[in-house]
Amino acid sequence: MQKETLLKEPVNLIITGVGGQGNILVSEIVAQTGCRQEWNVVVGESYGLSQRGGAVSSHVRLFQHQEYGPIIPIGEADVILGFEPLEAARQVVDYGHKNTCLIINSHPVYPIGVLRGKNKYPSLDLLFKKLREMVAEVLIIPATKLASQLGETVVQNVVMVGALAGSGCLPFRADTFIEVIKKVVPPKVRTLNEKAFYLGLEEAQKIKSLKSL
Amino acid sequence: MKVSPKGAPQLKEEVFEPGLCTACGGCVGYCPYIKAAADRVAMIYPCNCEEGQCYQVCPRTLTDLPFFRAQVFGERALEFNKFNQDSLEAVLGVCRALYFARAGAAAGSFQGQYGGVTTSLMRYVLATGKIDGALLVGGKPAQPRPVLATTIQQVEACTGSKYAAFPTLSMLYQPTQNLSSLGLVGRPCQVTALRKMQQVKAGAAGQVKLAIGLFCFWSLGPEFIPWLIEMGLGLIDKMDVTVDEVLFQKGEEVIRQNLAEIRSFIKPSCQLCYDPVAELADLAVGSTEYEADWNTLIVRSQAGENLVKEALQQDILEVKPYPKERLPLLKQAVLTKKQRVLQALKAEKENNRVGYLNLSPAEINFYLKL
Amino acid sequence: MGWQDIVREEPGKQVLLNGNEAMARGALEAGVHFVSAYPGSPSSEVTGVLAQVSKNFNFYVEWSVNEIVALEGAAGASFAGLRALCTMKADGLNVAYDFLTSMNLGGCRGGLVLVVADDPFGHSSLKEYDSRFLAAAAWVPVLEPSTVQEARDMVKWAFALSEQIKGPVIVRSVTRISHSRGIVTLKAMKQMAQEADFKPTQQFHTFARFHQEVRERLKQVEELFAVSPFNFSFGPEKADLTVFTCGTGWLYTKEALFSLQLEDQIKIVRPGTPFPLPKQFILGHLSGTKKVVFIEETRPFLEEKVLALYALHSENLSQIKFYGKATGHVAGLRGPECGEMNTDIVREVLARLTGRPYHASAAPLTKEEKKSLQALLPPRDYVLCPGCPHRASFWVVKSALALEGNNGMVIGDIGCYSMGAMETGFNLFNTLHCMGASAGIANGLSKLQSYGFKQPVVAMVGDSTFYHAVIPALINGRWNKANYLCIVLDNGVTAMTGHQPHPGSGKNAVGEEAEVISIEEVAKSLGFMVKVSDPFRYTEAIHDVLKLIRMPGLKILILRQPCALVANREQKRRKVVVRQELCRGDACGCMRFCTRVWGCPANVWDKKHEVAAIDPAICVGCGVCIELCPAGAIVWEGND
Repeated sequence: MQKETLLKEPVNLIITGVGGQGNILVSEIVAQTGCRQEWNVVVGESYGLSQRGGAVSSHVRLFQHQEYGPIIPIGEADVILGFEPLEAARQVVDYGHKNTCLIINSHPVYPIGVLRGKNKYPSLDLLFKKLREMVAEVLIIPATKLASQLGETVVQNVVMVGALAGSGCLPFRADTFIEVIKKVVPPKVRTLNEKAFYLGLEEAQKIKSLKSL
Repeated sequence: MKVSPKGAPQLKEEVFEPGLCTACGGCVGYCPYIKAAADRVAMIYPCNCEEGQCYQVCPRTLTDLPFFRAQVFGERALEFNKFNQDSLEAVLGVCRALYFARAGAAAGSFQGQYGGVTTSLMRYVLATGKIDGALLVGGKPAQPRPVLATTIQQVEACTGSKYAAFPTLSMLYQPTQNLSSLGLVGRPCQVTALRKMQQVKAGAAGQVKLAIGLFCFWSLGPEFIPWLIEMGLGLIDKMDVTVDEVLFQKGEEVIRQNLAEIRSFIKPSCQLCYDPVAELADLAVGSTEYEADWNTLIVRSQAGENLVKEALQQDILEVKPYPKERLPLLKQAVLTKKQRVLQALKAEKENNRVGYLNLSPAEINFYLKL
Repeated sequence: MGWQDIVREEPGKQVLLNGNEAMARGALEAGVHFVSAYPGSPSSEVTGVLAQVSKNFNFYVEWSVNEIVALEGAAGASFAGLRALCTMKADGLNVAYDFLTSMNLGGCRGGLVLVVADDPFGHSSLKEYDSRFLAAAAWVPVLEPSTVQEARDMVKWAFALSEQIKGPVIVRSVTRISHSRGIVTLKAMKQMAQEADFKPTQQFHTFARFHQEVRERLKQVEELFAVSPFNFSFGPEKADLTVFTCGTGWLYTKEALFSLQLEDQIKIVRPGTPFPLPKQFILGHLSGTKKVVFIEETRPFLEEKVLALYALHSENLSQIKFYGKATGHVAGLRGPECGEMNTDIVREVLARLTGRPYHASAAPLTKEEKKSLQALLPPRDYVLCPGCPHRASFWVVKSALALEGNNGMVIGDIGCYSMGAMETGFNLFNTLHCMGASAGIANGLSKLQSYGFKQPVVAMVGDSTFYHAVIPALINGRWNKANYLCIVLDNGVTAMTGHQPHPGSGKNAVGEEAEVISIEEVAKSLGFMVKVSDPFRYTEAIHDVLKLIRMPGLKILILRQPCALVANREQKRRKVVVRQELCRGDACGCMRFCTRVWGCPANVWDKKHEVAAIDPAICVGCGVCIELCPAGAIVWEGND
């Protein structure tokens, strides 16, 4: 396998969402893919009470020369992969910079305070507009909708992995992702996850090509 | 009708917190916030509703009595001269007739309280299809339970006074199995709550066609039943209260206790009630304090009068004139209660603590001067 | 994922493991024979993964009833000459501490290693604290890894060290080791065959006269540490400014130095063996430096030890100015002397001390941009899972106490249901402390009647907590005529830490069928009045709570329903739907009870129609909201 050079050292990726959205599986897939492409990887997970509806985030750092700790410094995330708009935006506040590439599943998961009518969930149009003004690239992926086409909304996380591959933000190869996905998901849902991956990949490529027109 | 644009927060402040809840059940079961367990009623979570049905139906919030008298008694309410010092009605409320009454020969046999008027009338209206369900309190005095009786047997199983305040009105919020006309036997506060519920079309209140109010000078709070059980009286069949004694009957055995023993269980809200004879009921029924086998019966509404007439014809009921010499005693008993409460309420009102004093100053002064 | 890699027999192979998996691998490479633990984040996966793979190797693994029992079991194995591992979270070390301090005096035989995982910042704990202080107070040597790979290396070496010194060794992990993934180069796994033997002539006793022996043992450890490759430095031989760092601080400091381009000016000293302090190693690096910065997680342990050492040797050393957590110069997010480290904290301190500004490689967002974005974002609070039986139990108790009417107190305990202290648990708990504290506090409160305390007291404990720490408190209560209601929330597993089995689960750590130690049988045998209720049957459960509260003495009510996450995996869901035409929504008589108050995430608000709805993707079909809906609008599918 040919080793590709990272554009910078380290490359910092944040994967974020809500407990139960499959954050850790995706950080595993991304990190394993990094390993297969012969980069060094460290992942820091924040999943204290993750199954209890709280926010979850994984910091994935890729590097070649020296070793890094598991937490990305403030303002240094190069890519933010968000399974939920609010949580993606929250990570931008802390970790985003002008050149951050943001890939967001547009499907909101309402916090309990919003469900209870105590807080207001921002309008997605306004939120995305604001994010576009702040960072270099924002890709909005209807990942939950795409996943529901496969009959399983739970694979929105793998649709988002596909979108990450299709975004071209990071020098990951689609075939490496597929190798890893095949390895880490149970055999009976392999095909489903592969399909989900390609749905996301194509969606991201489509958006990119429309933009470049 | 005078209404207050108030809701649960005020109900909590004006009724629950000062201990004025009568456990009528009028606010229980409609929403998820006010719950009852046996004879206890509590607000378990703030609902944040600023204008709420619970406040409107509560018998301890502002109650526009003249309005409800007009609603229940129609034309007859206009004749009602409450400021005539000599009038019996000024003290007893609208009164088409006043009798000593008891179950008639055709009523059959059952173990009622005193003359068994309530049970025989309820059995009769159910049997004749005038109503198809009756809201009653069943069980023995130490295990009261709300009953929606649809058969005569069920009515009979509910005979006898319970003395513990039980929130039966909550049954009006439960599915009533396609019952179209209901009857209620309740305490005066429950009759008031029923009228208020009918006004705001709460639950199945509109289906209640007959309300028999029981004379009630006080009822007992939730600590009473645990006390009964502790005293080894958990299985008594019947209970009665005389001027200075409580009688607990278990089979043939009668256990006597000084009335003072149970006085501490009287609900604080009863100490502030000035309607001991169910002024908004169709019929009001109580003891005679004179002849043990008879009840006092006040016929109040047109519907009540019609029913009594029919019951007399069918020999379901037997009446005799209210003894002249007993009248001043009855009047005085009711008046004393009213005066004591109004005096207290007036003081409370000045402290601005109780929201339910709903009589005009003129009316209050009239009673206090009687 | 990880478990497939940790059993690989491919020395030299690089695999991605999290810290807990790496430590499990370290134990395998050391040829561990006996593993015992009580689960607790962030430590649980060490034993969890070893339980998964134990059959491949034929070593013994158990989930123990609590940490002290776990450690005692591990010590038994060690006395018989076997290698034993005992894992726990920092809070668990307190539970095991009585035995640890005793056993350390008499020493042990086969390698006995404790992995203690601290949780700086309290990501998944009620408190954070630093187990190095406890280890030092117990005179037990501590190894502190900085990376996932080193965590493996240290656990592996700890067994050899323990055997050499004939005493237990602690490996201190933290959340950012245990829950980080990194690349580990596999080494060979040791052959397991070993006969357990404990000769009648062998003795392991605890007597005060052994203290000097332990002191000698620590001296021996210090000599071993003096030459340990786990203590190293990085950067220039001589530097005016030296950073002393432990654990995770090592990589944060390195990154900070590189990003400030200070790597040729500042020296990093990284002792991997903070207790006993490798004195000569430290003194060598203190010599010739002018400023010392301490970077370590939680409390200033290394800092205090080094400061004491400096005080003893100051005449041979030049004047040094110290900067650390104790001095207040290094502060975590919540201030000095607590919390986690990260690169930003280190960089800020070093930039301040050197005057070297930091220039990020990418243009940062402006403060205004961040502020205006932040203003749009509502918080996301923790919430009990959809269909969680604890939500129903909390609502039952909340309702019952309101109906009881005497301002009843609810004394909470540790588990998922600790969320009874949060909004999702209706802010029900009056107190919340540690495993088992509820029953003990309730004992005390219920004895205060003669001082005028007449409120009813309800203790709420989990099933796993019941076995772990509640039983002695209950016995105490019965003996001393306490008067309260103890409610056991029985969901069948140790849910909070990842659904490990417990004595009531009918399974053991490795998945074999096991004896069920029934909570009600235990309670009955102790003479308690016991009732089992279903928290999903709201009205009946309230009735039971009220009835039991009124009864004199100490009573036990078991509210039993399986954890919703387990039930959801095992049972077919019944579908719940909303008859929207019946929903009262924001009107009197409801006021959005299901979404506003009940707060199950599956109860959602259909904004367009202004009525309640069910999110079918997450509803587990418990049906509790069907009973609670005042309008009868929530129904089983098919009943609409």
